[in-house]
Amino acid sequence: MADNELVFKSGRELAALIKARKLSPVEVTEAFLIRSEALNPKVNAYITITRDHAIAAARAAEKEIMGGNYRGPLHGLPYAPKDILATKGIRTTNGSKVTADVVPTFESTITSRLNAAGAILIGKLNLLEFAMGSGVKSGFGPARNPWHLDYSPAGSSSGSGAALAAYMTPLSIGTDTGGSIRGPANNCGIVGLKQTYGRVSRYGVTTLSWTLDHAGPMTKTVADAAMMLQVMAGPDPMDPTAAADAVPDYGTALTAGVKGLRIGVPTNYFFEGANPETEQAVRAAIARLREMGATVLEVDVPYAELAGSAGWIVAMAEAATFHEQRMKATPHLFDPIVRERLEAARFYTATDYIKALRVRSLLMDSMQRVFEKCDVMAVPSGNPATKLDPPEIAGTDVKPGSVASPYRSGNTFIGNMTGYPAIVVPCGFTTTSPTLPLGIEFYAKSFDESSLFRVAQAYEAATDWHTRRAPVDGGGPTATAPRGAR
Amino acid sequence: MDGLEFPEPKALTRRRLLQALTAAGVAAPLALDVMAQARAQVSSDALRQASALLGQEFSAERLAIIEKALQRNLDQFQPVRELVIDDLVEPAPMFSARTHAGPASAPAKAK
Repeated sequence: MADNELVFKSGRELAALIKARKLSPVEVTEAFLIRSEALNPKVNAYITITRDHAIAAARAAEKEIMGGNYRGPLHGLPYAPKDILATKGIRTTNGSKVTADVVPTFESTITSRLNAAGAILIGKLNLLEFAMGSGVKSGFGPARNPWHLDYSPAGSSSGSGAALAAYMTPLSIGTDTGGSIRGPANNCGIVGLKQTYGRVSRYGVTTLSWTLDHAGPMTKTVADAAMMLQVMAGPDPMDPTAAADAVPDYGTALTAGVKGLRIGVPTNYFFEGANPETEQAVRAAIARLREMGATVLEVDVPYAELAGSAGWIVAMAEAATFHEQRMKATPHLFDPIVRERLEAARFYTATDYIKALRVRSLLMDSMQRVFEKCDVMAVPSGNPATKLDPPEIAGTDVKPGSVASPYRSGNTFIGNMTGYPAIVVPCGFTTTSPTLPLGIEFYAKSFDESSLFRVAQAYEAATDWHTRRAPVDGGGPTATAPRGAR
Repeated sequence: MDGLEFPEPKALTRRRLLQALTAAGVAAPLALDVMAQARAQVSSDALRQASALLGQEFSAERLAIIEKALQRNLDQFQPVRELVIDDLVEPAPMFSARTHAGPASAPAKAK
């Protein structure tokens, strides 16, 4: 099999070939390394490519598998985490000049579990500085959207979204404090899962906000996200917020179909900011699921319009506390927009913060009531990608001529404020140039990631959006089938 | 954390107020003045005094930047501040009852 074909296979497809000994982990790893090294100068998805480490690990995996010691579906599969997860002995930059040379002496629980499952780390991916920067003036320059290199892959897991869309890794890890997994999934046309708060350990993940941070899988397919979560999830003595809840077999959800599944569609807030093309695509996806046997009903989510504002207070107040010493020691090394946000947050009041946490209680009550009526809730995950900010305005939220508020998406922030799980999958493309992905986001009740996999997998299997290839190799977009649902 | 570009349709943002004023026939520059007068503005002087409470000094250049950023934040927070919440609603910090400070030997997550 030619290397350039191999990288277009899903993680699960590659795993089956590796298990059957039809494909060596070394071949797979080499293929992704070659592609990553070739494309990174223009996509800038990677901060560090760990070639030597990856090849050594792949050879060890090959030896184990050939010796009859197959550890499971991640064995021999390459992956690349956002460079905010600590990797022992491997530089972890947080996308910042402040921590550009930090080499951790410990391993994050997530990468530790993936490594133990036999997955092979091939590099560390670009991000918005400390998961909240401009993405343009951050320490390592902007990752670019493979669907159009002038456009933003969104953030803060920008490199993860870009690397997956460009087939530079089959599996990735992102982090999400207000939408940082789901935004890049929306903009890059890939799958992003923010599981329930507590489902996955945050140990070794550099903090943005202790109470809002999540780290979750980013992949090309829903089955790959389920495969990763299976390994990542579970209690962890190193993270007291990691839940003791049993981790179900997510594989069974992938074949359950949507017959009888109740899909709630909000009548308030969530569609009000969507542009017509986004709304049309999301409503078409919901209609498709109804045709497949799901029941669609209307739901109301009180206080949803406050999720973004209240979430911003919580996130920035906690971030300003976390970075207090670094801001005093080396403020000039921060991305200007991060410095601006953290300094402004020093002046937030304690009553604002506590009020935001009370809004959080109201939002949790709202979501609990929603899921008394339905199994999943479907909303737009965002509008299509926009161009990267030019450097002269990227370093501030106070952009010339703009009076818009700095944070605008309660559609994703409500998941962080409540801890409820959400998944984003592609649901179409823009019809105007440039061709850019559109996404749909599904929510489920706490610790019910299975329902997310169930609905997302059923939709993915009925459509071909996830098979489209970004035109990053040159030429126009590569479509493997006519536009539209199969 | 950024990337999504939905507006906050129901929030009382400066943009919404500006739209309302301009729809009422008030020219945009004048509308901005009206908005500024309608809401107490953050000033560098006020921030300089507040800095003393924080125990941190900021240069005049930094205070000018913070002033603009904070004003935008406060506009955004206004709906939260104005919300009347029942006395029975307690804050939800999202930590479980098992929460503790973590192992004493836990390394710092970022240096």
